[in-house]
Amino acid sequence: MTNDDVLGTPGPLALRLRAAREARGLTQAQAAAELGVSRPLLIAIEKGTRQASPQELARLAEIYRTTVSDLLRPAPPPAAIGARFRAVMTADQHDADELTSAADELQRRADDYLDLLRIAGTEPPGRPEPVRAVRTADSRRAEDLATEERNRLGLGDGPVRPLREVLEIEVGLRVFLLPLPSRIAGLFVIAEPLGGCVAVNSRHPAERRRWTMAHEYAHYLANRDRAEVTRLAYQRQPESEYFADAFAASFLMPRSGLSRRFHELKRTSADRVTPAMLVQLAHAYGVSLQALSDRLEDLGLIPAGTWERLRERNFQPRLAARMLGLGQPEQGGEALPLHYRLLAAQLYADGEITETQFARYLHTDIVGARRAYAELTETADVASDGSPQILDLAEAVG
Amino acid sequence: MPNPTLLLDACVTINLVAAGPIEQIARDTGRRYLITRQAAGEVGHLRDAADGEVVVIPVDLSRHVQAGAFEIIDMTAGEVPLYVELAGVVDDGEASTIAVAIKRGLPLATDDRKARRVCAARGLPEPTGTVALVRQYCEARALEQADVSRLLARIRNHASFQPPRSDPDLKWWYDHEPGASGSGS
Repeated sequence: MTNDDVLGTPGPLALRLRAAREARGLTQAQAAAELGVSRPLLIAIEKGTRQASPQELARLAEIYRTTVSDLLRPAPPPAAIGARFRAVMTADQHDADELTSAADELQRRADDYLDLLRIAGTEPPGRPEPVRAVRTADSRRAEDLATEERNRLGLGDGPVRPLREVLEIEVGLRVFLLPLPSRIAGLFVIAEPLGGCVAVNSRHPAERRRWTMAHEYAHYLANRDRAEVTRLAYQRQPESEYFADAFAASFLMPRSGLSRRFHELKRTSADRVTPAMLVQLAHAYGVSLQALSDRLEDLGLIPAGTWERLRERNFQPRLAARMLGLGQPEQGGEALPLHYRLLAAQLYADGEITETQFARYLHTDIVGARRAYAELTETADVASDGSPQILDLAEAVG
Repeated sequence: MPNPTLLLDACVTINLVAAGPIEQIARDTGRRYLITRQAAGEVGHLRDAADGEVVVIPVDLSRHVQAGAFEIIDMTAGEVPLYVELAGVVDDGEASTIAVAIKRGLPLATDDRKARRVCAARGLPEPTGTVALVRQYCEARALEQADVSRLLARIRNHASFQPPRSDPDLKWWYDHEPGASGSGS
């Protein structure tokens, strides 16, 4: 059997067996009883002092509801992401269970990504930036940092439409969409060698998800040494959260570009600021009307309390956007990073992973994986008969 | 006369289920299909379209087992070590299918490129695939062109299957399936 574990040292298999048991919420005694062995024997297997027999391994995969194939991945699972989140949770946290399971899910996604990179013999995209020495108490510094980042990435001062792509490819953040407890916007943690991993609440609207991505980006730049849980509201907002929000506002809506657009629209509206104008700007920057209003208030371009007044009048931003023909905001709602999905599709096309493995990496079934493959390989071109052109990933292009 | 017993992997199984008459396909081609418990667990769901929405259709393998389409088998203790060894290379379903094929000397059906490579490396005869099985059935029943097209369209629409470019029966598929785009990996 393929177990490279050195006796006495918990190797990848021993560590994965332990992680799989913990993910199932079983004690060593419970797992041993199900396997039909003594607890000391199971402990020895998890410590790597005794190798599991093939029969035991197959049975443990069943007990832990995982696959032998996953247990045999040659690298250890990524450093306990779940444990790092548990360390920052407060004792009285009422959504601790949901949060713990979300953190464990993020860990599994990170593990899958690392496994794909290992099979492909490649590294994740992005050049890791050193952590910035900033005082998070100083929110003005957040705007400076956002401007520096925009300049570094060559983004100018306009809206960043492909925000997720920029963060994934240029910055090197791994952005996953996960169903999180409704009051949680996102999670951030460093999981070496993958780098900064972000979980964004897939239940939140597209604009909020963009805000969360930019917010977690600030944590990556300024205080990446600890796992972060971003909440929608705080009794008393921590300094680092305030800083990250200020960064998100400045990064998504840069002062110069937003002011210029605002004045241009105002000029063409007989020097009046109308709700339609605000809706148009919010749509252009891919932010909520509240986020836009707050930013314009901060910049002194509209009076304080504008958003509250609109809300009191039951103003419906989505309805207004539809009436203005602005359509739905860009969704970008894929659960997995684009690079991750393309990597998996390429490995499948090259025959490096099976169709079922491809499906497991995409967290779907066989037919779901086939559909995803077709979507990932469909180009913007059309054939002479009008059907979509399909890119053959198995063919070398240079 | 080929061995009437044929091991199916999960990918071929879902295609044959999507085709519709899997019991007939087995019977009319004189086959007895076997599928390992691990592969059966990987079959997943079919898809359909209703009012522009994608609908997930559960696959009830036990119904097909009762109808005599195939049998779900467990590995013997002697097959498990090879299964575990192969699971380090391919998924559990393919690993169990290949392990049983080797240990029992049975032919197998898979369209999977990696699984076929492992079979070749282990000295197994070249596996058959979805298109060959469906073609045998269509020819055995002497189906009309329109019936063949409908059957292949069901596999494409419900299982999103496109035959691999290396499939020896690729041309037959394209000749009979008007919607085929030739994009198999």
